Amino acid sequence: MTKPTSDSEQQLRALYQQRKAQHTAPAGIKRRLLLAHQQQQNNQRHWFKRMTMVSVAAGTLLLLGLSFWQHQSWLNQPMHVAEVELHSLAPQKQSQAISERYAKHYQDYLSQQQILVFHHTKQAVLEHMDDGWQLQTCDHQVVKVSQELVNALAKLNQIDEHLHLGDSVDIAFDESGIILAISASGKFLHC
Amino acid sequence: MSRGLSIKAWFFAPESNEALMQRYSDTGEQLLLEKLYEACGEDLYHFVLTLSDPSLAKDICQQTWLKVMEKKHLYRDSGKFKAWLFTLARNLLIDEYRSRKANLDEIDTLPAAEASMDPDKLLQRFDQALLKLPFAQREAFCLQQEDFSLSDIASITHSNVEAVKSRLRYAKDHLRQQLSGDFETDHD
Repeated sequence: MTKPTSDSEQQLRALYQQRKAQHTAPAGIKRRLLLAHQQQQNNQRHWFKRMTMVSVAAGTLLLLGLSFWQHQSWLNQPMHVAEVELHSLAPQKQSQAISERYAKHYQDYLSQQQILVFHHTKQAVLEHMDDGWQLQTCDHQVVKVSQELVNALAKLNQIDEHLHLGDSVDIAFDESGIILAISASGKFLHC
Repeated sequence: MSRGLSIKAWFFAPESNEALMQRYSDTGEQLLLEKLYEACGEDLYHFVLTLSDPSLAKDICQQTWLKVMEKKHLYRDSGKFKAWLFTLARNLLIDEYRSRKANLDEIDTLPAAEASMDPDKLLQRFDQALLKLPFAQREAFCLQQEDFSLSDIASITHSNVEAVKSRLRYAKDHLRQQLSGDFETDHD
Protein backbone atom coordinates (compact mmCIF):
# COMPACT_ATOMS: atom_id res chain seq x y z
CA MET A 1 0.00 0.00 0.00
CA THR A 2 1.38 3.37 -1.00
CA LYS A 3 1.34 6.16 1.52
CA PRO A 4 -0.11 9.50 0.42
CA THR A 5 2.70 11.97 0.41
CA SER A 6 3.12 15.43 -0.99
CA ASP A 7 5.47 13.91 -3.57
CA SER A 8 2.80 11.59 -4.89
CA GLU A 9 0.35 14.46 -4.88
CA GLN A 10 2.75 16.47 -6.97
CA GLN A 11 3.34 13.54 -9.30
CA LEU A 12 -0.41 13.07 -9.77
CA ARG A 13 -0.76 16.78 -10.42
CA ALA A 14 2.08 16.73 -12.93
CA LEU A 15 0.56 13.73 -14.72
CA TYR A 16 -2.83 15.42 -14.78
CA GLN A 17 -1.30 18.55 -16.31
CA GLN A 18 0.57 16.45 -18.89
CA ARG A 19 -2.65 14.69 -19.77
CA LYS A 20 -4.44 18.03 -20.11
CA ALA A 21 -1.72 19.35 -22.37
CA GLN A 22 -2.23 16.36 -24.64
CA HIS A 23 -5.98 16.86 -24.95
CA THR A 24 -6.44 20.35 -26.22
CA ALA A 25 -9.87 21.69 -26.99
CA PRO A 26 -10.90 21.60 -30.64
CA ALA A 27 -10.67 25.01 -32.30
CA GLY A 28 -14.24 24.53 -33.51
CA ILE A 29 -15.62 25.27 -30.05
CA LYS A 30 -14.16 28.75 -29.96
CA ARG A 31 -14.98 29.39 -33.60
CA ARG A 32 -18.62 28.45 -33.13
CA LEU A 33 -18.83 30.46 -29.92
CA LEU A 34 -17.56 33.62 -31.59
CA LEU A 35 -19.86 33.07 -34.55
CA ALA A 36 -22.84 32.68 -32.24
CA HIS A 37 -21.77 35.79 -30.36
CA GLN A 38 -21.62 37.81 -33.57
CA GLN A 39 -25.04 36.52 -34.60
CA GLN A 40 -26.44 37.49 -31.23
CA GLN A 41 -24.94 40.96 -31.54
CA ASN A 42 -26.38 41.32 -35.03
CA ASN A 43 -29.77 40.18 -33.80
CA GLN A 44 -29.62 42.68 -30.98
CA ARG A 45 -28.60 45.46 -33.37
CA HIS A 46 -31.37 44.44 -35.74
CA TRP A 47 -33.87 44.35 -32.90
CA PHE A 48 -32.70 47.74 -31.67
CA LYS A 49 -32.96 49.20 -35.15
CA ARG A 50 -36.42 47.74 -35.52
CA MET A 51 -37.52 49.06 -32.15
CA THR A 52 -36.19 52.50 -33.05
CA MET A 53 -38.15 52.48 -36.28
CA VAL A 54 -41.30 51.30 -34.52
CA SER A 55 -40.85 53.98 -31.86
CA VAL A 56 -40.39 56.70 -34.47
CA ALA A 57 -43.43 55.47 -36.40
CA ALA A 58 -45.53 55.30 -33.24
CA GLY A 59 -44.38 58.77 -32.21
CA THR A 60 -45.24 60.20 -35.61
CA LEU A 61 -48.67 58.57 -35.55
CA LEU A 62 -49.27 59.88 -32.06
CA LEU A 63 -48.25 63.38 -33.10
CA LEU A 64 -50.50 63.25 -36.14
CA GLY A 65 -53.37 61.91 -34.04
CA LEU A 66 -52.90 64.65 -31.46
CA SER A 67 -52.79 67.41 -34.05
CA PHE A 68 -55.86 66.00 -35.80
CA TRP A 69 -57.72 65.74 -32.49
CA GLN A 70 -56.78 69.30 -31.61
CA HIS A 71 -57.97 70.52 -34.98
CA GLN A 72 -61.26 68.66 -34.57
CA SER A 73 -61.81 69.96 -31.06
CA TRP A 74 -61.10 73.49 -32.29
CA LEU A 75 -63.71 73.08 -35.00
CA ASN A 76 -66.28 71.65 -32.59
CA GLN A 77 -65.65 74.27 -29.92
CA PRO A 78 -68.94 76.04 -28.95
CA MET A 79 -68.91 79.67 -30.14
CA HIS A 80 -69.41 82.19 -27.36
CA VAL A 81 -71.45 84.63 -29.42
CA ALA A 82 -74.41 86.50 -28.02
CA GLU A 83 -77.42 86.38 -30.31
CA VAL A 84 -78.94 89.77 -30.87
CA GLU A 85 -82.39 89.95 -32.32
CA LEU A 86 -82.98 93.04 -34.37
CA HIS A 87 -86.61 94.00 -33.95
CA SER A 88 -86.64 95.95 -37.12
CA LEU A 89 -85.90 92.74 -38.93
CA ALA A 90 -88.49 90.73 -36.98
CA PRO A 91 -91.51 89.51 -38.96
CA GLN A 92 -94.14 92.14 -39.67
CA LYS A 93 -96.92 90.03 -38.19
CA GLN A 94 -95.36 89.86 -34.72
CA SER A 95 -94.70 93.58 -34.68
CA GLN A 96 -98.30 94.28 -35.55
CA ALA A 97 -99.55 92.05 -32.72
CA ILE A 98 -97.38 93.91 -30.24
CA SER A 99 -98.65 97.20 -31.53
CA GLU A 100 -102.26 96.04 -31.16
CA ARG A 101 -101.62 94.88 -27.58
CA TYR A 102 -99.97 98.16 -26.78
CA ALA A 103 -102.91 100.09 -28.23
CA LYS A 104 -105.39 98.07 -26.17
CA HIS A 105 -103.45 98.65 -22.97
CA TYR A 106 -103.26 102.31 -23.77
CA GLN A 107 -107.05 102.45 -24.25
CA ASP A 108 -107.54 100.73 -20.91
CA TYR A 109 -105.21 103.22 -19.32
CA LEU A 110 -107.18 106.12 -20.76
CA SER A 111 -110.50 104.67 -19.58
CA GLN A 112 -108.97 104.16 -16.11
CA GLN A 113 -107.83 107.75 -16.21
CA GLN A 114 -111.40 108.74 -16.95
CA ILE A 115 -112.62 106.79 -14.00
CA LEU A 116 -110.00 108.16 -11.68
CA VAL A 117 -110.57 111.79 -12.51
CA PHE A 118 -110.91 113.55 -9.22
CA HIS A 119 -113.99 115.66 -8.87
CA HIS A 120 -113.18 117.34 -5.60
CA THR A 121 -110.99 116.90 -2.53
CA LYS A 122 -111.55 117.40 1.13
CA GLN A 123 -109.02 117.97 3.84
CA ALA A 124 -109.33 115.85 7.00
CA VAL A 125 -107.36 114.55 9.99
CA LEU A 126 -106.55 110.88 10.35
CA GLU A 127 -108.06 109.86 13.68
CA HIS A 128 -108.14 106.15 13.69
CA MET A 129 -106.23 103.42 11.77
CA ASP A 130 -107.25 100.10 13.34
CA ASP A 131 -109.61 97.96 11.28
CA GLY A 132 -110.23 100.65 8.68
CA TRP A 133 -109.45 104.32 8.82
CA GLN A 134 -111.46 107.11 10.38
CA LEU A 135 -111.07 110.67 9.15
CA GLN A 136 -112.67 113.87 10.43
CA THR A 137 -113.13 117.05 8.50
CA CYS A 138 -113.35 120.55 9.90
CA ASP A 139 -117.11 120.56 9.65
CA HIS A 140 -117.09 117.53 12.04
CA GLN A 141 -117.95 115.16 9.31
CA VAL A 142 -116.55 111.69 10.03
CA VAL A 143 -115.50 109.61 7.09
CA LYS A 144 -115.05 105.93 7.77
CA VAL A 145 -112.95 103.99 5.26
CA SER A 146 -113.23 100.23 5.51
CA GLN A 147 -110.05 98.10 5.62
CA GLU A 148 -111.03 96.53 2.28
CA LEU A 149 -111.11 99.93 0.63
CA VAL A 150 -107.80 100.88 2.25
CA ASN A 151 -106.26 97.69 0.85
CA ALA A 152 -107.82 98.27 -2.61
CA LEU A 153 -106.53 101.83 -2.74
CA ALA A 154 -103.10 100.68 -1.56
CA LYS A 155 -102.97 98.19 -4.42
CA LEU A 156 -103.72 101.03 -6.86
CA ASN A 157 -101.06 103.20 -5.16
CA GLN A 158 -103.79 105.69 -4.40
CA ILE A 159 -103.15 105.81 -0.69
CA ASP A 160 -100.18 107.08 1.21
CA GLU A 161 -99.04 104.22 3.39
CA HIS A 162 -96.69 106.33 5.48
CA LEU A 163 -99.44 108.23 7.16
CA HIS A 164 -99.71 108.37 10.95
CA LEU A 165 -102.47 109.21 13.36
CA GLY A 166 -103.11 112.94 13.49
CA ASP A 167 -101.72 113.63 10.03
CA SER A 168 -103.59 115.95 7.73
CA VAL A 169 -104.71 114.22 4.59
CA ASP A 170 -106.44 115.11 1.34
CA ILE A 171 -109.39 112.88 0.45
CA ALA A 172 -110.08 112.81 -3.30
CA PHE A 173 -113.67 112.06 -4.40
CA ASP A 174 -115.07 111.46 -7.86
CA GLU A 175 -118.22 112.87 -9.30
CA SER A 176 -120.47 110.45 -7.43
CA GLY A 177 -118.66 110.90 -4.08
CA ILE A 178 -116.59 107.73 -4.17
CA ILE A 179 -113.19 108.01 -2.51
CA LEU A 180 -110.47 107.70 -5.11
CA ALA A 181 -107.33 108.50 -3.13
CA ILE A 182 -106.05 109.52 0.27
CA SER A 183 -102.75 111.33 0.36
CA ALA A 184 -100.76 113.36 2.85
CA SER A 185 -101.75 117.00 2.75
CA GLY A 186 -99.15 119.65 2.26
CA LYS A 187 -101.00 122.05 4.57
CA PHE A 188 -101.74 121.53 8.20
CA LEU A 189 -105.50 121.52 8.90
CA HIS A 190 -106.76 124.43 11.00
CA CYS A 191 -110.44 124.33 11.83
CA MET B 1 12.57 50.15 -7.55
CA SER B 2 10.26 47.62 -5.96
CA ARG B 3 7.60 50.30 -5.66
CA GLY B 4 7.94 50.97 -9.36
CA LEU B 5 7.50 47.30 -10.08
CA SER B 6 4.44 47.03 -7.89
CA ILE B 7 2.83 50.04 -9.62
CA LYS B 8 3.64 48.47 -12.98
CA ALA B 9 2.16 45.19 -11.77
CA TRP B 10 -0.93 47.04 -10.54
CA PHE B 11 -1.41 48.64 -13.95
CA PHE B 12 -0.58 45.60 -16.04
CA ALA B 13 -1.92 42.84 -13.76
CA PRO B 14 -4.20 40.49 -15.70
CA GLU B 15 -7.85 40.98 -14.90
CA SER B 16 -9.49 38.22 -12.88
CA ASN B 17 -12.02 35.97 -14.56
CA GLU B 18 -14.70 37.35 -12.28
CA ALA B 19 -13.94 40.93 -13.31
CA LEU B 20 -13.87 39.90 -16.97
CA MET B 21 -17.20 38.14 -16.64
CA GLN B 22 -18.73 41.08 -14.81
CA ARG B 23 -17.60 43.42 -17.56
CA TYR B 24 -18.80 41.01 -20.21
CA SER B 25 -22.17 40.82 -18.45
CA ASP B 26 -22.38 44.60 -18.53
CA THR B 27 -21.06 45.31 -22.00
CA GLY B 28 -21.35 42.08 -24.00
CA GLU B 29 -17.98 42.78 -25.63
CA GLN B 30 -16.67 39.90 -27.72
CA LEU B 31 -13.09 40.52 -26.65
CA LEU B 32 -13.98 39.80 -23.03
CA LEU B 33 -15.65 36.54 -24.01
CA GLU B 34 -12.53 35.57 -25.93
CA LYS B 35 -10.39 36.32 -22.88
CA LEU B 36 -12.62 34.18 -20.70
CA TYR B 37 -12.38 31.35 -23.19
CA GLU B 38 -8.59 31.67 -23.29
CA ALA B 39 -8.53 31.49 -19.48
CA CYS B 40 -10.88 28.55 -18.93
CA GLY B 41 -11.61 26.89 -22.26
CA GLU B 42 -8.90 24.25 -22.10
CA ASP B 43 -9.55 23.37 -18.45
CA LEU B 44 -13.25 22.97 -19.11
CA TYR B 45 -12.74 20.81 -22.16
CA HIS B 46 -10.32 18.51 -20.36
CA PHE B 47 -12.68 18.18 -17.39
CA VAL B 48 -15.64 17.27 -19.58
CA LEU B 49 -13.51 15.01 -21.75
CA THR B 50 -12.36 13.09 -18.69
CA LEU B 51 -16.02 12.48 -17.80
CA SER B 52 -17.21 11.68 -21.34
CA ASP B 53 -15.81 11.17 -24.83
CA PRO B 54 -14.31 13.69 -27.32
CA SER B 55 -17.49 14.11 -29.34
CA LEU B 56 -19.74 14.64 -26.33
CA ALA B 57 -17.13 16.80 -24.64
CA LYS B 58 -17.00 19.11 -27.64
CA ASP B 59 -20.77 19.32 -27.76
CA ILE B 60 -21.12 19.96 -24.02
CA CYS B 61 -18.39 22.62 -24.09
CA GLN B 62 -20.07 24.42 -26.96
CA GLN B 63 -23.40 24.36 -25.15
CA THR B 64 -21.76 25.57 -21.96
CA TRP B 65 -20.10 28.56 -23.62
CA LEU B 66 -23.29 29.42 -25.44
CA LYS B 67 -25.04 29.37 -22.10
CA VAL B 68 -22.42 31.72 -20.67
CA MET B 69 -23.14 34.04 -23.55
CA GLU B 70 -26.92 33.83 -23.29
CA LYS B 71 -27.19 33.83 -19.51
CA LYS B 72 -24.51 36.39 -18.82
CA HIS B 73 -27.01 38.60 -17.02
CA LEU B 74 -27.56 35.80 -14.49
CA TYR B 75 -23.91 35.79 -13.42
CA ARG B 76 -23.30 37.45 -10.09
CA ASP B 77 -19.94 38.51 -8.79
CA SER B 78 -20.51 36.55 -5.59
CA GLY B 79 -18.80 33.38 -6.79
CA LYS B 80 -15.88 32.23 -8.88
CA PHE B 81 -16.49 32.37 -12.58
CA LYS B 82 -14.70 29.09 -13.18
CA ALA B 83 -16.86 27.31 -10.60
CA TRP B 84 -19.98 28.71 -12.27
CA LEU B 85 -18.70 27.60 -15.67
CA PHE B 86 -17.87 24.07 -14.49
CA THR B 87 -21.26 23.81 -12.75
CA LEU B 88 -23.01 24.72 -16.00
CA ALA B 89 -20.98 22.14 -17.91
CA ARG B 90 -21.45 19.42 -15.34
CA ASN B 91 -25.23 20.03 -15.23
CA LEU B 92 -25.41 19.84 -19.02
CA LEU B 93 -23.41 16.63 -19.03
CA ILE B 94 -25.59 15.00 -16.40
CA ASP B 95 -28.72 16.13 -18.30
CA GLU B 96 -27.28 14.61 -21.44
CA TYR B 97 -26.61 11.31 -19.70
CA ARG B 98 -30.10 11.36 -18.23
CA SER B 99 -31.64 12.04 -21.66
CA ARG B 100 -29.75 9.02 -22.96
CA LYS B 101 -31.01 7.15 -19.91
CA ALA B 102 -27.48 6.13 -19.18
CA ASN B 103 -26.62 5.01 -15.68
CA LEU B 104 -23.63 6.81 -14.24
CA ASP B 105 -22.30 3.43 -13.11
CA GLU B 106 -22.15 2.38 -16.76
CA ILE B 107 -20.00 5.34 -17.66
CA ASP B 108 -17.78 4.91 -14.66
CA THR B 109 -15.10 3.45 -16.82
CA LEU B 110 -14.47 4.96 -20.21
CA PRO B 111 -12.28 3.50 -22.94
CA ALA B 112 -8.90 5.19 -23.06
CA ALA B 113 -8.97 5.66 -26.79
CA GLU B 114 -5.96 7.84 -27.17
CA ALA B 115 -3.97 6.34 -24.37
CA SER B 116 -2.48 3.62 -26.51
CA MET B 117 -0.90 6.25 -28.69
CA ASP B 118 0.88 7.79 -25.75
CA PRO B 119 4.59 6.98 -25.86
CA ASP B 120 5.03 7.75 -22.21
CA LYS B 121 4.13 4.62 -20.28
CA LEU B 122 3.56 6.38 -16.99
CA LEU B 123 1.18 8.84 -18.54
CA GLN B 124 -0.54 5.99 -20.33
CA ARG B 125 -1.02 4.11 -17.08
CA PHE B 126 -2.23 7.27 -15.35
CA ASP B 127 -4.70 7.82 -18.13
CA GLN B 128 -6.03 4.31 -17.88
CA ALA B 129 -6.19 4.44 -14.10
CA LEU B 130 -8.00 7.78 -14.15
CA LEU B 131 -10.60 6.55 -16.63
CA LYS B 132 -11.18 3.45 -14.54
CA LEU B 133 -12.20 5.55 -11.56
CA PRO B 134 -15.93 5.71 -10.74
CA PHE B 135 -17.61 8.82 -12.17
CA ALA B 136 -18.02 10.64 -8.84
CA GLN B 137 -14.39 10.01 -7.81
CA ARG B 138 -13.09 11.00 -11.23
CA GLU B 139 -14.95 14.30 -11.28
CA ALA B 140 -13.90 15.09 -7.70
CA PHE B 141 -10.25 14.34 -8.55
CA CYS B 142 -10.34 16.44 -11.74
CA LEU B 143 -11.95 19.36 -9.97
CA GLN B 144 -9.32 19.28 -7.25
CA GLN B 145 -6.60 19.27 -9.88
CA GLU B 146 -8.29 22.38 -11.32
CA ASP B 147 -7.60 24.06 -7.97
CA PHE B 148 -11.15 24.07 -6.70
CA SER B 149 -11.59 23.97 -2.92
CA LEU B 150 -13.51 21.19 -1.23
CA SER B 151 -16.54 23.42 -0.80
CA ASP B 152 -16.36 24.44 -4.45
CA ILE B 153 -16.25 20.79 -5.50
CA ALA B 154 -19.18 20.00 -3.22
CA SER B 155 -21.12 22.87 -4.74
CA ILE B 156 -20.34 21.93 -8.35
CA THR B 157 -21.19 18.26 -7.82
CA HIS B 158 -24.23 18.99 -5.62
CA SER B 159 -22.88 16.94 -2.72
CA ASN B 160 -21.44 17.59 0.71
CA VAL B 161 -17.83 18.19 1.68
CA GLU B 162 -17.46 14.90 3.56
CA ALA B 163 -18.58 12.93 0.51
CA VAL B 164 -16.09 14.87 -1.60
CA LYS B 165 -13.28 14.15 0.83
CA SER B 166 -14.11 10.49 0.76
CA ARG B 167 -14.22 10.38 -3.03
CA LEU B 168 -10.91 12.17 -3.29
CA ARG B 169 -9.27 9.80 -0.84
CA TYR B 170 -10.50 6.75 -2.72
CA ALA B 171 -9.55 8.24 -6.08
CA LYS B 172 -6.02 9.09 -5.04
CA ASP B 173 -5.52 5.76 -3.32
CA HIS B 174 -6.63 4.01 -6.47
CA LEU B 175 -4.34 6.06 -8.68
CA ARG B 176 -1.38 5.59 -6.40
CA GLN B 177 -2.07 1.88 -6.31
CA GLN B 178 -2.21 1.69 -10.07
CA LEU B 179 0.97 3.71 -10.42
CA SER B 180 2.74 2.27 -7.38
CA GLY B 181 5.58 0.87 -9.40
CA ASP B 182 6.31 4.17 -11.05
CA PHE B 183 5.91 6.48 -8.08
CA GLU B 184 8.83 7.31 -5.84
CA THR B 185 6.96 6.74 -2.64
CA ASP B 186 7.73 5.88 0.90
CA HIS B 187 6.63 2.36 1.79
CA ASP B 188 5.43 1.23 5.20
